Amino acid sequence: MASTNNNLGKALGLILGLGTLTGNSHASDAATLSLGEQDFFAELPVILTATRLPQPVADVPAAVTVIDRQMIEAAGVEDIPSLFRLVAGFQVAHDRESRVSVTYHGASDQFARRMQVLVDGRSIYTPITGGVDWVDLPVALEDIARIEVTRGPNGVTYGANSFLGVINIITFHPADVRGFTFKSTVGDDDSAKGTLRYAGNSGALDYRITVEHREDNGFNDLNWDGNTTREANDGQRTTALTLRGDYRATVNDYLTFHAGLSEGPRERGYGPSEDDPLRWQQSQGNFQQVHWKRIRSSSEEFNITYYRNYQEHADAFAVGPLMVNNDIEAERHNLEFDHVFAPSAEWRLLWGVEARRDRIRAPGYLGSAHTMDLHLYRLFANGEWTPTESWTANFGAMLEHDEFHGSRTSPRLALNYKLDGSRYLRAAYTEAYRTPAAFEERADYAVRLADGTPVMQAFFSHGDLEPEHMTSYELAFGAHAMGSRTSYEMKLFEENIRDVIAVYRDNKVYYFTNDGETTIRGFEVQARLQPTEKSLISIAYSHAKASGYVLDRMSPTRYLDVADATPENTLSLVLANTFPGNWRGSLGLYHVTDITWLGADRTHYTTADFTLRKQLRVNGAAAEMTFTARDFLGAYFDYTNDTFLERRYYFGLALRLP
Amino acid sequence: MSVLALLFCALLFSFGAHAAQPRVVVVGGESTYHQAVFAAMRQFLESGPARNVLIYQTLEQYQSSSESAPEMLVAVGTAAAQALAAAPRTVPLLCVLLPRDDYAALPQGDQGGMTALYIEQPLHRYLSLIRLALPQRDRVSAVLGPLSSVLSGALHTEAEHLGLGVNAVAINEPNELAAGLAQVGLPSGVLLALPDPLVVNADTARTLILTAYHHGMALVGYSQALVKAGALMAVHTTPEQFGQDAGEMVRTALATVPIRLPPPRYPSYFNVSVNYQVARALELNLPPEQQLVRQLQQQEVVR
Repeated sequence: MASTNNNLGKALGLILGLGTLTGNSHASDAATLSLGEQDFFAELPVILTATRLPQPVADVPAAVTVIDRQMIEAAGVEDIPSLFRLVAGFQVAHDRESRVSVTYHGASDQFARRMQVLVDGRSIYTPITGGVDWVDLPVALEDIARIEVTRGPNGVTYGANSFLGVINIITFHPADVRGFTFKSTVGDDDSAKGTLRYAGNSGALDYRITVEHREDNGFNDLNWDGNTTREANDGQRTTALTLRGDYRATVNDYLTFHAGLSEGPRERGYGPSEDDPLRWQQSQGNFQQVHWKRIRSSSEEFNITYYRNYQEHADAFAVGPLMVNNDIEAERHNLEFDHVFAPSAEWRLLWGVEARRDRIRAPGYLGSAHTMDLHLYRLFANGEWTPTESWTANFGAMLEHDEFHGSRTSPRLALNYKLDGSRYLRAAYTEAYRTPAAFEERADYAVRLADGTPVMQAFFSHGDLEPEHMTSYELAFGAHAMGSRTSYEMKLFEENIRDVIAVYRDNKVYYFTNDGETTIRGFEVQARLQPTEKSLISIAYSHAKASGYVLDRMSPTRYLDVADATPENTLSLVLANTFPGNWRGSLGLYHVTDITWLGADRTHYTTADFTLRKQLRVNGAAAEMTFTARDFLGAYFDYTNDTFLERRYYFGLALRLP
Repeated sequence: MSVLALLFCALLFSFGAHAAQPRVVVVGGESTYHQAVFAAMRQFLESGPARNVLIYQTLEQYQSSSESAPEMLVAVGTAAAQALAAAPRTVPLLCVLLPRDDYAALPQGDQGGMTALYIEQPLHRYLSLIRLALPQRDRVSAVLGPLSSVLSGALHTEAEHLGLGVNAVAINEPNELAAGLAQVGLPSGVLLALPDPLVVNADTARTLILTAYHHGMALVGYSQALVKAGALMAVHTTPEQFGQDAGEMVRTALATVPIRLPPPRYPSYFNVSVNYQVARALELNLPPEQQLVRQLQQQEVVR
């Protein structure tokens, strides 16, 4: 077995270009025989560093919800977006054509353009629309160690597009999931998912390989022609392969490699109208990422990260003499450097620079066959000052520059006060900008003749848009203590968004302009309770009132009242318990009051999921059987009244071999 | 060529030393901490009017020199101790920086006597530190390897003496560490890392330290490197302190005629290092390091 591991490690080492490096390592082989002076005096890798040792919750300058593995299991879901229902103030919506929107405090359309989404530090929102293609996401649920969700803007830490919130997905270090893992789930809507992972180790290299296939035929339209049911045209099949290697090059230098690809067809078209026929769109994407971390001490480190994302959708078709071209191609190159250090016991500083080039080609959307280059540069810094045991202040700023919109600075100020060992207060002020996406800036979408002459214009942008601007104020009270079974935070907030980029209609054509403003005020509760060691209660509640307007129509001019675009109440409640005999059960209840999605329908719903698990352990191997009932209270829609979520059942089987 | 250079140096060294025969030859390696032990010994022994009491030689220099025997030999490190103990010898030998088990395994011929200043700390010192710094935590977990598992019995006895519960498991393969930690891991407990290269090395540090941290366990170790890496605290002896301690043993021995060696023992000087960042993350409020050292010393005097 050991030699197999070794060979696999070497093979991966070669793939990762480390063949020569992995061969001559490492300490453990030689060191197992006797105790020596080196055991007492030699340096060890610094493991708990300022970035690994997260600030105590009481000192964090923003509202953060952590979805850990225990919460993922309790939620019982098989798709990543559904997890965000566990986060206070978050809404998840299912559109036609398997598009999913994840937003904070509503105020969103199908593209949910105002959220930063990172996977292991890689920003994955698409530069064309600014939204995230959740179906394409090349990450397996099984590989996610935890998700940190910042509720509110946080460009200083997470970069461009960290506007309404930040979703930071962190995958497992291979050393934490060694061995084989196999998981398969089948269920209603012809859904099937299979995940196979191997994680191993060879000297100083830890690595994992995950292959996943997932498919389903999507939801049903219960409102077809008013009252009949038909299958919505939203099936999808995705196959993804991801690799990760973590190599300790010297005692305190780490190299991490990520690579992956995903591809598969998605059903498109609403039908039966001739300009939107039923068809398959081919999607494919890949990414590569290299990260070098040099740790100088527990309080000082340097990081250099380079990554490349590539995404392609092939969806061009002809309707008689007319051509529709929905092809997109987007490539992102990103280079970032940061440095964390503590100049004194009271100060901890972080600063960094980032350069990004997005190359996009979307002839149908942008009206040009040419590739468009977008450059973005960022300089950021944050100082954390702890003058006394009780007070922590965070001063941060980000300077951002791009060729279309010049430069702008977003500051952040947060003050935290500890009332005692566990309870704290926080006051924070943050500004953020959202750079318009390429489609907002350069839209020219039309049904065309074969020679390119537009016949029916659908979207057009005159450009010269200003970035959207947000100021956010929050006051929070919370409690979090190490070892305590209860943690909670209550937050009062006000978010003012100015220069909202409106998608308005003028004589059958949609245009983009800065004409709208929104103020959202409210309060939120995020709590996690463990009444006993075997139980878990997660509560997320948000009460929000929006006011403001956004341009909806010209000639005659009409504004939309945005009050309806944010649900007044969003609640999620998850209860999980472990019963004797290694049985575990969990129940999730989700409630959203009236919301009118921009460009979609008005809805409200209460729904519930239920999961039962049985675990078996034999000789170090573990098996788990799962039964899940999703939306068992009955059918509803959460975005558009032709895509219904109905009661669905899933069976899963997982095996883990050391 | 380098061998010639070394020989030349050795010759020079021995001629220089010939003028006044040093009473003690200290034999060790070339690492900085060996040099530091010697420097501290010399500083201690030559602090008064005494000059040229001791010289330092690498093992190669010592073995190739034809000097007449000094009054006493000091071996710094395992390699020197094993070489010197194995060779015919007529003068007493003090071994410094030597694990207790390695000392016990040396050929114990009666050729002038032998003693040691062990490299390890006594078990009660770790446990007293835990009692003192973390009074609210009374469960100590430990994963022992092939070398440290011999301490299992003593660990239980010493811990019981201090009112601490022990949960220890022994492992024999590096890949058993994670399972071992899972077996003894106790939220809000203490994880004691005892020196054993199978359990603690550059490759296992991540598993050991992150597991402890994620369980909210206070990791207590035996080296400054462990604390720098992310353990909560450690009790350890610096090379300078070993040098001082060894110097005192040498002075005591040289004061008797004929030379009579003190019995082998653990280091009497030590430091406590605390990673206050980790303490803060674990929401622990620990006293200053020097205060912990003073209190431990006072307890040991009473003991």
